[in-house]
Amino acid sequence: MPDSASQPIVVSGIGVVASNGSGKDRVWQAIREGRARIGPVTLFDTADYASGKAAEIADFEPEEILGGKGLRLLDRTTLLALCAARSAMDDARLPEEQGAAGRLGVALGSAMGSVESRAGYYLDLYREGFVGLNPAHFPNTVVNSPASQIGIRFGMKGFNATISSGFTAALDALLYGADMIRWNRADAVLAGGVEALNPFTYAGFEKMGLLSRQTAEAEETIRPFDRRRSGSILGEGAVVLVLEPLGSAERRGARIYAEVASGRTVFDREGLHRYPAGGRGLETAIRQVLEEESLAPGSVDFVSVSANGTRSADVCEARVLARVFGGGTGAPQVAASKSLFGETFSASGGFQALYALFGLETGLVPPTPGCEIADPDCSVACAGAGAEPKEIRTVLVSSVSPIGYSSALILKRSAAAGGVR
Amino acid sequence: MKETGRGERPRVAVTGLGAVSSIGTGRRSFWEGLLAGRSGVGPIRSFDTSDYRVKIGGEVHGFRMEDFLPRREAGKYGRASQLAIAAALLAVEDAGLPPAPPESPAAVLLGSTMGECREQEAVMRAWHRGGPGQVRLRNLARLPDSLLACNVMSALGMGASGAGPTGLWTTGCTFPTACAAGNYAISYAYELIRRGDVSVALAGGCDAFSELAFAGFGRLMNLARQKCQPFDKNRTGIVIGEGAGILVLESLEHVRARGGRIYAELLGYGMSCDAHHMTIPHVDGVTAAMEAALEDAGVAPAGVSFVSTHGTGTRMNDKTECQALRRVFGNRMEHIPVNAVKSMLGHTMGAASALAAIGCALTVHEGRIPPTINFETADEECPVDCVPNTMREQPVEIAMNNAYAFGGNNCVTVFARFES
Repeated sequence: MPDSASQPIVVSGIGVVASNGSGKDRVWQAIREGRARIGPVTLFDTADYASGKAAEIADFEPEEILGGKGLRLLDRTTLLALCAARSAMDDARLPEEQGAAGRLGVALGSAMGSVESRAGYYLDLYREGFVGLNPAHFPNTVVNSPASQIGIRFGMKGFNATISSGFTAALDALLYGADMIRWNRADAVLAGGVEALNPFTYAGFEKMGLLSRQTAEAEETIRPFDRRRSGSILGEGAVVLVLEPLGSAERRGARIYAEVASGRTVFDREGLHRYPAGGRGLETAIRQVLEEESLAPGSVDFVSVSANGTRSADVCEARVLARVFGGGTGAPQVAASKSLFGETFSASGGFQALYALFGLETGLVPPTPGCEIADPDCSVACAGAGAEPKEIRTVLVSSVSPIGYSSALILKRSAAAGGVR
Repeated sequence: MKETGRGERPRVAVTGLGAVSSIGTGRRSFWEGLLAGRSGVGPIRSFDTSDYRVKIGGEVHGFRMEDFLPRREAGKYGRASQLAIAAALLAVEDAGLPPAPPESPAAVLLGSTMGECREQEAVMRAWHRGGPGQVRLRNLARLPDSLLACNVMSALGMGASGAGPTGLWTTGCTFPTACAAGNYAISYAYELIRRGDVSVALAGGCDAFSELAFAGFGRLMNLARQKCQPFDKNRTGIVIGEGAGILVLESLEHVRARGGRIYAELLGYGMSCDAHHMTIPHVDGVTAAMEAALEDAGVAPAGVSFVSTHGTGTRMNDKTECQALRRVFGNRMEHIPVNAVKSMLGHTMGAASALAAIGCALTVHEGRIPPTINFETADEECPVDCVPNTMREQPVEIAMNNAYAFGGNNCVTVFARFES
């Protein structure tokens, strides 16, 4: 058994496409400034809905990152995933030949692939009939298309997996990717999640009452843990990380952002079609990973949370954290990335991981700009802007969802990452 | 015999088999159907086919969720979930496990190509008629593919609950890795058991009969009009099917402690990506997955006694798969019995490699190889012994289960006869 089995798995590259910037440097800057980009949806008509806002990627120009060739038939979901993958590989300075050697894997979280491509194929069928269907569009309808296109475009011949678990899908993909390296199934893995804004998912969230009913005039923001919250706002984007064993990252002289430590996804029956009031699944997941890492609750420096401005989501997560960490001033601060990037559904775990990586690199607990007037039912503390950097070694990523799964993941400063700050 | 394999990690036993298929439901009926070469293919009843040239499919007729769950419960799930829940209940019963949720950490891993397609159809027909206002919340709420595994766990009473303790957990996920999805689920269950995370897992795949898949494959000119004929010179394509296959996988220690029956040992698996084309398989990737699986299982090519092929019946797949078999086995390939259960079931998409895995487990257990039916004319491009039309009694030590998918997502599992 090669030594990768016992080695820490580290993040050595960050790729991101988000509403408020693309590429790690621009997104880091947006996080520093607490700058979200939430506005009226322009990709489709929302006149029929009370809501109408999103954290949409304006002027998405994939050719700038991917070059112009071979993009014509690809959908938005796949293009977002490809751009994030490309930027992660560039950031990691990953040698191309690793892919060809069959040892580079892909693990992508996606709730339903390109919902727009699949829904569009149904509409084509109903409008035009069988003869009107374009065969070239059919491959876009399968959920594993974005991950497969990463494999095809960048020649990655290791395993290629898509994981569908909803809100926790990107975190599950990170865990799966790290495990596949530990199990000697790959030398390095591109892992993350993708979600594209589309009218069908939008309608689903709207009908389930998860979206903010803010009027056009109201301030445009998600307010996790804030008593003025009015619901969530959808976002879109992709986060792809390069994972590899510590030894290979060191040999390549790569930048080591963090170690991917323990993680756990737990099914919570109570949370199958609504946020689980009890939060037993999330609590179990968090306690499991703390135990596996032998971490006292006090050694968690902050929690990158999934709170999205939906009351039941915020309250559930806050109560679970209070039970685990004891609440009060001793509890770790929390940071809600959805306040900045919107609710990016199956990519959201990737953005939560990004918040953790930002904190580990900069020593700053990232902001939750929408949280200003605390909800008395949520006894958590968010970081304010302009805080002094501090020592951040261990971040808990926590995710609770209304479609069954809750996840916890520890990202920690790698022992080898001393030079980063 | 030792309960741990190489590296002192737990060995993985196949102990329960649950099938819902067009040729039979339940382990016994499914296996009888496979051995008899029963065809599950007939005129499509799921939707009106008057606009289509092709009229046939492998549908599961007479399936009623109420036969498995109380009526109130039964109405909560879409058809893909229903098929999977039934297969899971059958598998658990077949394993002789108590109907109560497991008392140790467990996992439920499910593959699917099309997801909850009937609900997708309901949503999109309504949308087509009158826009989002016409869509019913009930259908929408059932859409996410991720729910498939959740619904199985929920129906089996697994997972955390509001009042429950926090110590016991069940994990799961859906692998939407198209036509190899069942093997993805099985192989991840294998890893979780080998690592000691869980001692019991339910793994497999499901898909309901999908008009979208039917139309899409039809537009790719991949559908057979009469029958599915893998490896036949005159084969014309796939037949869309539906079904669910679930395997109970357990650590050897766990099954020994409870005195359960073992059908087979899951020895290992291999994965690869063609990195070539979304719909055209490539011999390099297909070969790489088989070689990785054999290496993982610690089996030399000479040790393989049977291959359950991906065998879809398209010109391209069968030719490519045979080229890959040639690369792995050399001239011995012509003497290794192989079969293609898709000749009987049609292509059950996410369930395909799971139902084939059930076939592999029973093949090594009983030493009987189900046939490839509809075989009439040999094809020089496919020089395999496909056990044509009649099953064969022959001891099988090692069975390899091939699965390839859209996107070049390949996953191959290896099963061994278990001697207790």
